Amino acid sequence: MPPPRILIVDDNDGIRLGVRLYLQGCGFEVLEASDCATAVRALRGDALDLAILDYSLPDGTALELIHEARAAQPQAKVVVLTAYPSVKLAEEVQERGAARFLIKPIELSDLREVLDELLGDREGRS
Amino acid sequence: VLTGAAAPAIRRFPEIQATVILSIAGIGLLVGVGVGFLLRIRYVHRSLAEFARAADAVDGEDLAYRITWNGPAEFAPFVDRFNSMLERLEATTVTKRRLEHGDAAVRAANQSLNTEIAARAEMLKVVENAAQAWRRTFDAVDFVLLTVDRSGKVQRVNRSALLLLGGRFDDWIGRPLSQFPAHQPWLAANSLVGEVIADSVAHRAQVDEDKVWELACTGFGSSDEFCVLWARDVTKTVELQRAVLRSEAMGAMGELLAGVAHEVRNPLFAITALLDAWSLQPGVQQVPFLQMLRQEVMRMRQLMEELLEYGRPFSSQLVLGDLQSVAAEAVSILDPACKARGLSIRADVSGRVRMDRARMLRVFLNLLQNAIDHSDTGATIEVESRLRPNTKPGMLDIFFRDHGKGFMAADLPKVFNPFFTRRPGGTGLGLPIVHRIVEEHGGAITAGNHAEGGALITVQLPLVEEADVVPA
Repeated sequence: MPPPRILIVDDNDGIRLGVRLYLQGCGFEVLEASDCATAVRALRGDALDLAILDYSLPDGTALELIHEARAAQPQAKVVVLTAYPSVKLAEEVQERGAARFLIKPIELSDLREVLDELLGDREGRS
Repeated sequence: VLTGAAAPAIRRFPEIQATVILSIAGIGLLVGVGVGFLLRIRYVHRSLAEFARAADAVDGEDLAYRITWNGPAEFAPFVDRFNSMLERLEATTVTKRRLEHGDAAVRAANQSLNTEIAARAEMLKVVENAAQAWRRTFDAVDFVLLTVDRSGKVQRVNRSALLLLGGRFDDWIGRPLSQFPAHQPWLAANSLVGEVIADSVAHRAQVDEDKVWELACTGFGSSDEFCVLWARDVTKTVELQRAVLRSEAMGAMGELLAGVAHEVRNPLFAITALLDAWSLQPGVQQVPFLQMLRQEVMRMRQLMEELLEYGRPFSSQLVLGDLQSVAAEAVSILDPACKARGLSIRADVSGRVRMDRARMLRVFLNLLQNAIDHSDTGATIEVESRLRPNTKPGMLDIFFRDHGKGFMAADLPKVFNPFFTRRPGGTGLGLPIVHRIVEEHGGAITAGNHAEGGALITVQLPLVEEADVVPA
C-alpha cells in the first residue's frame, strides 16, 4: 500500500519545512503549498489522502480551499490548522466539511495522532 | 245856439270832457300805482323767503347755513348781520349733532382705553406666568443653580442648592459666595464666579474630590445685572464613563492581545515543528533547520520590537525640527536596501514641525520600507511635501508614492488595523505604528492609490509658523 499523500498549505516557510520533514520521517508522502493558488493546483492534481490547511493565507482563506478539496478530492480529509482560536471559526470550517480544527502551536506527535486517526479510517474502508 | 233840453248839457260839454279825462287819468294812475305796488310786494316777498329758509335751517340746527343775497340792496345789511349772527351761533352753540358726534368720540376713546387696559392686563398675566414658570423651572432643576450679581452677592438659590446648603432661602440670599460652606461645590463655585466677575466671560470647571462636580457660570453681557452659575454632581456619570473607558481599553487590549497571540503562535509553531522534525531525524543536514529557526526567532524579535514601538507612551516633549533632515536620514538608512533592490528614492521634503524626532524618523522609515517592499526593480519611490492651501494653522501634506500594485480597494479600511498584512512575513504593525505616531503629532494619515497607479500614503502634519517660534 502506497504511503498516504498529504498536502500541507501554510505561508510560513518554517512551519512547512518542519511539518514536511516530520511527516516524511513518519512515512508520509508530503506536498507543500504556500498560498491558495498553489494549493488549488495540488488539489486538482493526483489523489490526496489528507490536506492540512492554514486558515489565513496571502491570497485567501481555508474556506475556499475546503470547497475546492471537497470538489476535487472528495475522499481527502481536511484538517484546518490555525493560529486563530475561535469557536465560531471552528464551527464554520467543520460545517463546510473539515474533519478537524487544530490550534497552533501543536506538538507534531499530537498532529500525527490526529492524522493516524483520520487516515486509519481510510485504511479501514479500503 | 243851443236850445231845448240838451242845450245846457251841450253848453257844459268841455267841463264834462275834462272831468272824464281827469277821471281816466286818475284811474290809470291808480291802476299803475297798484300794479307797481303789487310787483314790489312780490319782490320783497321773494327776498323775505330767503330769510325764512335761513330761519328754517337754523331751526333745523344747520348753523353752517348762510344767506346768499341777490335781493334789494337795502336788505344787504340785514343779511350781513344775519350771517354774522349765524357765525357766532355756530361758534358758540352746542348742537345736538355735535353732541352726538362728541359722544361717539368719547365712546370710541373709552373703548380704546378699555382695550388697552385689557391688553395690559393680559401682558401682565403673561409676565406673571413667565415669572412663575421661571421660578418653578429654577426650583425644578435637580442641580444647584444660583444667580450672582456683579458684586459677587447671591441673588437667588434654587431648591436643589437649598437642599445642599440647609436652612431657608433668606439665609443665603444677599450673601457673598465666599461666606458659603467651605466645601465643594461652594469653594469651586466661589472661585469660578470670581473669574467671571474679573473678565465677564463664561467659565467652566470640574472638581474631582470625594465627589465629582461639574460647574459652569455664564458671563456678564453688557446689560446683564447677574450671572447664572450651575453645579452638578456628575460622580455617577464620570464613574460610568471611566468604567466604559476601562472596558473599551480592555476590549482594545484583548483585541491586541489576540493579534499578538496569533502573531506569536505562527513562529512558535514553526520553531517547535522544526525542532520536532530535527529530533525525529537527527542525521539530516543542520543548515536548513538552523536557517529556518533563526528566521523564526528573528521574526519574533521583530514582532516584540514593533509591539513595543506601537505601545510606546507618547512623549509630550516635542522639539521643533525640520522634516528635511528626518527624510534625509531615513533615505540614508534605507540606501543599502534600495541598492539591493535596484531602487531609488527621490525626496523633496521640508517644513518645521514640533516632533519626537526618533518617532518621526520611524514614520519615514516604515512608509519608505513599505514602498521598497512593494516596488519593482528599477522603480523610483517619491516622497514630497506641499503646503496644504487655506489652512490655519498651516498644514503640511507629505506624499509617499510607490509604483507597485497599490492597495486592494477592500483592504483600504483595514490597512491601519494592527496585524493586518498581505505581505508574507509581515507583522502588520508597520502602518499602525505610523498611524499612531502621526496622530500623536496632531496630524492625520490616509492611504489610497495614485491615479496613475501605485500606493499613495498622505501624511498631514501641523506646521510651526515662524511667528510661533519662541527662542529657547
